[in-house]
Amino acid sequence: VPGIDKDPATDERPGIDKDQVTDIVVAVVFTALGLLIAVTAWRTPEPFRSVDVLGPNRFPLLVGAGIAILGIFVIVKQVYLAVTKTFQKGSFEIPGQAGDEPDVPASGLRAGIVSALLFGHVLLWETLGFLLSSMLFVIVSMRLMKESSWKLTIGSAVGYTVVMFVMFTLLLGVALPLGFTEPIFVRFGLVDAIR
Amino acid sequence: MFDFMPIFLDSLPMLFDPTIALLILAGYLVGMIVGALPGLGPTLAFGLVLPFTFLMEPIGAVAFLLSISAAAMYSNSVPAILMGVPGSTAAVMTAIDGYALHRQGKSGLALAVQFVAAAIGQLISIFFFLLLVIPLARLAYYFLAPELFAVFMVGMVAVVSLTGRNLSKGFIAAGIGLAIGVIGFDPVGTTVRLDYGIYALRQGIPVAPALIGLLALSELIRQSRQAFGWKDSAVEFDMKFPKYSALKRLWYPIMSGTVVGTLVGALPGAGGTPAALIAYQQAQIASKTPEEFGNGSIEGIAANEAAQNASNSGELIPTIGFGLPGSGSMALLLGALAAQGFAPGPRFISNNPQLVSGLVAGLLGGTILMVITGWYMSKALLKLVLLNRSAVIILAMGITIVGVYSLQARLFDVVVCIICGIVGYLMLRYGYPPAAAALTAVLSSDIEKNFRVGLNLTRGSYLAFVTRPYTAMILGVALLLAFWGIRGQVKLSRQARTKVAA
Repeated sequence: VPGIDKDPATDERPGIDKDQVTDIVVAVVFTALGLLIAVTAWRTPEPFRSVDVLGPNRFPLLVGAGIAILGIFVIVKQVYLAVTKTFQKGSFEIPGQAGDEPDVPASGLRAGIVSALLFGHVLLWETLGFLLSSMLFVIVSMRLMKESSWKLTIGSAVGYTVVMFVMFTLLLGVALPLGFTEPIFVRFGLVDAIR
Repeated sequence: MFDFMPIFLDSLPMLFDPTIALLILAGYLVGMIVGALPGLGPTLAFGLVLPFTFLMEPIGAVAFLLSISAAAMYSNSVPAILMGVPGSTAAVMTAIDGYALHRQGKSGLALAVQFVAAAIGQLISIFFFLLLVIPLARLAYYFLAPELFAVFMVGMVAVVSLTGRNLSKGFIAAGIGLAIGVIGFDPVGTTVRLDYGIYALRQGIPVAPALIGLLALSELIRQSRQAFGWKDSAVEFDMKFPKYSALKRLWYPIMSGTVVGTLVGALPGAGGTPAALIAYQQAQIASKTPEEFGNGSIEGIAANEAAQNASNSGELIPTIGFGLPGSGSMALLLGALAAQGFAPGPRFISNNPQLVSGLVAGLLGGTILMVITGWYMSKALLKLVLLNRSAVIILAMGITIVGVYSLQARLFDVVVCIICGIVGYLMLRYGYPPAAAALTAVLSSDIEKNFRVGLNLTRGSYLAFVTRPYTAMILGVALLLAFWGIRGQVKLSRQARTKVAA
């Protein structure tokens, strides 16, 4: 997949590390989430209650405020670090990070695209149907993962989809959405019409 | 003292019940396969199969799950020894010593030590589990809401030992777990809160999909960062079981590893990895040949393996005794039990002794299968590790999603799972422990409920939480654990890093 995997050797200029920026962005997102919960809990009117000492809003307020305060602390710390210290590209280390395995090309972009595909293919279940949308998901994702054999890619896609469908819908009775392909299955009596 | 015997004896006939035996066999195979794949551990295996357990009888379901963890803690060391790549973090030290032996041409010795230590550690620790969990559960008879709140605080402290080196990020992760619990539904007043006008949120965020997302899907997304091409690396090795004389000096490391593994595993939040690291260190201190450690010490492997497997039983102690999950996989076990309609908590054992027998049957059955087939599985597992990882990762993602959908046939659950998966991935990458979030997500509503009900019980007196003897005692334990956790965690992570770097 061109463009996703950069050669680390040609990518070593000093400056702010990309990971450093994302680290701050993630902290900002979590802080915003904390603030949202805290503010909502703060502004929700207390319902009438006779015995409940704390009421439904205090605990969420505490949780939200806690996340926000710690989040602001992390943001300030990381911004301070970014302003005062320069890191060699790729040398910025995040404590506790689940690192990549060495000697294997890694890319956050690929993980992002695969997650987006995962999300997108689920949204397509109701229109395209589980069968087609899952096959597409497996094929595109495996190509992204640099699987070069078409035989294996298509085999996995078809095998996975069919096994899941047979196991869940035909044997376990879980109605996986079939989308526009549903009439075909109904026609052959494999699934009941409009459940 | 011996009142654990009935529970143990009840588990034996379960091994001959065809349904349960079949489930144990299935769990064993799943655990072996998932455990051996690099980076994928028992937590991910639990996440993958959790939806299926809802279709099983409860006893079979718990036996199935525990058989998975017994097998996974064995199989994660096979690639560790033969390729230097631990199947999961608990096998890091085995990867160092075992791989060193493998390169010296002593693969058979390393695999045999691992096999023997894992089996003995697992078997003995089952009895430790029963011996410890029953008195603990009996104590819980005296507990009211304030005490229960205190117990759940102990569970929260577990988070500390999961935080790693950045405490503030660890607590943010814990907060996110709590937030998952507070959204949508108030556990005391049973009113709606924080639903943001989204109808599906009015019942709260479904816990099982959120957990599967945070713990399993997040790891799969992380793995999708890398394009693996391991198909071409061929591994040849000789496999001969060594003579007993070569294994004789392993008694001490196996025994101490088993004890350390059970006890450390029982500390909420500790789990297999610190158990293995502490046992390894302990064995090195006691060893006559400490210089071998790190360069192919069979004592080191034995201690690590015994502790890893023993921690399976250890983790069950707080999980079953108090309803406090000690690790990600235990959080999922509680999720499975809750979905089956069981309330894990202080009264769990007395109410459901047959389920505890089911747990024991799973561990026991998994171990027996390991003793019979484990040695021969090594070679097959290696083939599996060399299997195409891209396909494995993508298909595992798909299976996870379909599994979550099958819970209630709701797309909303799948959306929750994927969002939590992405959040969990960001957490993994930027130093927020997703296990901490999973833990608090399980505990959130119980903590809030018991705190508020306790407060109502004492008519609004916060002081009562300190003056009630059991409550004060348990909160004291929580404080101690917090202190121990912060210290130990910092020390261990430092050690592990220098060892891996060296």
